[in-house]
Amino acid sequence: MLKRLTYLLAVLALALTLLPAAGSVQAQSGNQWRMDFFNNPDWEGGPSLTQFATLINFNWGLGSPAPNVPVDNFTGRFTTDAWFYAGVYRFNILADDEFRLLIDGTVVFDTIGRGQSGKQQVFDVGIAQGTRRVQVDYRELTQNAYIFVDWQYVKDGVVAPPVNPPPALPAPPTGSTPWSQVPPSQSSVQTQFGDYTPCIQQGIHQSNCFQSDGAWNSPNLGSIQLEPQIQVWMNCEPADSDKTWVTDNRTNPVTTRSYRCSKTLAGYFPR
Amino acid sequence: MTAEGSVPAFELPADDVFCAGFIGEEPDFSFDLEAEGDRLRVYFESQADSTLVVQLPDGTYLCNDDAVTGDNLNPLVEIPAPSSGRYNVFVGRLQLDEPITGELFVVESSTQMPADLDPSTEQE
Repeated sequence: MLKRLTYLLAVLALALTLLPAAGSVQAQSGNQWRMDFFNNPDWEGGPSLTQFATLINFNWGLGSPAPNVPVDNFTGRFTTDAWFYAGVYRFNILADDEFRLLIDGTVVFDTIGRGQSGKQQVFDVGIAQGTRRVQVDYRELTQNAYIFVDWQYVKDGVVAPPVNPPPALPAPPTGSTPWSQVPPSQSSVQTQFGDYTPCIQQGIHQSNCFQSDGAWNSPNLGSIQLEPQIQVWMNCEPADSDKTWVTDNRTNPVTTRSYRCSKTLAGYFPR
Repeated sequence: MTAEGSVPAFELPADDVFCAGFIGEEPDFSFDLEAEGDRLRVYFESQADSTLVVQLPDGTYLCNDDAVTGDNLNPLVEIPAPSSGRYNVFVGRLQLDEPITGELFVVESSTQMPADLDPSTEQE
């Protein structure tokens, strides 16, 4: 029988155990984030620093992301295009001092000006299936600076609220570049580093399908995670590295996107 | 009990959430559970916004910021089906400016709650 425990404590109890060194567990990974930092508290002007990361998991302490960014009163805008299945996602965001989360341009959570610095924010968002533009606006005012962003799929079969499409990507540059319509993606790709078919079917980053061949010089997963996601699963030749394909999605407005044949650890693909 | 640590709790490998607050390097309180139970609650009552981290006997962590989001800023960690062994409790603070003094409770209950600390009445 469990001994009943009821303690009212007024003093600290001595203990022996030290905290183990560890990093936060991440459920959400495989996305490529663009991180723009601004030397002002309002995301104004051009960024003073741009970085890329696969996770938003930063503790700058009393410092800043780089010497050319002030330790106080700076802002960051972090964006990624991430794939979601239809359903409900539980977001976990912890930030000092403030943040707002936007999905496809719609604000879904906002702590700006609400005195929530350092508070644990856990909230659910219904999302329709597809690739969504996820944007986190972060603001550091004074003292400690950190932000952690994570999400997990928690429920399916839920009707998600309508979302706005992401803003159109900039049109490709004009000039003498030989454009051609991008061919359809292959439905299946096999390489010595695994079967990439599930990644094609699910529209997720190729790192999720990577399998080492065990050789001493096999690429490591970390390297693949840093690659931009392959958008068109169509093997191309290294000789095509100066060739550009363009998609025309016939959306309104028409959006285009260009790809160049480039080397990835899974082979040569337009991306 | 006074929370005055400066170790970021968010660097702990807790499941599902990022633990909020700054805690001490050593637990503020430890206890040994002699037999398995149905439910255990650990909570902290103070007049400032605090957090809680509990290390279970298997080494994993549970944490909480607010017992009731938006309504009660005092933290509460619920441990369903607690196993026997040692539990380490860390009380955290959100800002490093000031220590937080309060009382820690460990109870065998599935309903007991910390006293309300309304966000509008929290001490600055």
